[in-house]
Amino acid sequence: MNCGDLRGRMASYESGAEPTRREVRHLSRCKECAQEMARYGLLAESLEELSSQVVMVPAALEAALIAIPSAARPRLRAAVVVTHLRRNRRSYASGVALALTAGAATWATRSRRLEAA
Amino acid sequence: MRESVSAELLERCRRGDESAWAELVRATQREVYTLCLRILRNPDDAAEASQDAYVRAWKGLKSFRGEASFTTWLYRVASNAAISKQRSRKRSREHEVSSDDEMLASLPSGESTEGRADVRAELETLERALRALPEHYRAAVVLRDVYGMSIDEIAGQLAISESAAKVRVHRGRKKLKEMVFPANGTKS
Ligand SMILES: [Zn+2]
Repeated sequence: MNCGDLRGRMASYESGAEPTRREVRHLSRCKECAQEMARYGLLAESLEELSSQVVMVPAALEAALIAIPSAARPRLRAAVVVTHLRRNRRSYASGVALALTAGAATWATRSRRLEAA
Repeated sequence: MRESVSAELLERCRRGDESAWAELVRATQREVYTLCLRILRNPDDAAEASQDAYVRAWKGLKSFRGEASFTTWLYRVASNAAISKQRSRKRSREHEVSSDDEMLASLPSGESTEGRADVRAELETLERALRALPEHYRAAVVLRDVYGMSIDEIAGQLAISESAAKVRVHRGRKKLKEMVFPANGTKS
């Protein structure tokens, strides 16, 4: 086992993984490799520690994130249906006027076709 | 990320309770935004990626079955959004916008290491080194070593093979080690 081989593999150790017996033997005799190994260990620990380091979120972003559900609501489609219903008030049964969803709009179109037929 | 979202809060969000959603956002947004910032480096891109992530999360809430913890799932959604952003940015920009100063000012806010100036300084050095890593190594190392994702998952996110993902992580670590401990550094 030479230093180059061992060092080439150091970066591939997963955090907490144990080196092989041969590697341990080498590490116990080679100060440079042991030091290098310690650096990787420290690096792994510090990287893990970074996960608890967080930054503040810009206020505009927070507002945008919170607004996602209301932005996702089909407001536009509902508004279109309302306008449509107002225009055609007389031709619709009163129950239809209560429903503002897209599904109801389809249903309303169908019922109008039925009326026309 | 520690589990900061209770099953009860999640259930309220699923039922469309918008105040519960606001609570969920407040409990998780800093982690999500920081993850995106670590991958993308640019605050505007990170904000856009965070927004994409939460839109997907809102739409996906109903299908989230709780086989993983919610925050783990949210991290996955966030890194996915950040990586997509990175791809589209690569296509749309010739040069990577350097916003190092902006980001330096904001990273890290250091909750866990408050009062330990030596540790904070070390972590800041590390954060700086991470940002200097080439893009293709950075995402792999951040996801593996900071957020503890599996190689298999990283490969999926980056749309590369597992062995390619491993190589990126290993090369990234090596580069990072060289930056943090410059050649034959005496620091031990
Ligand atoms: Zn050696």
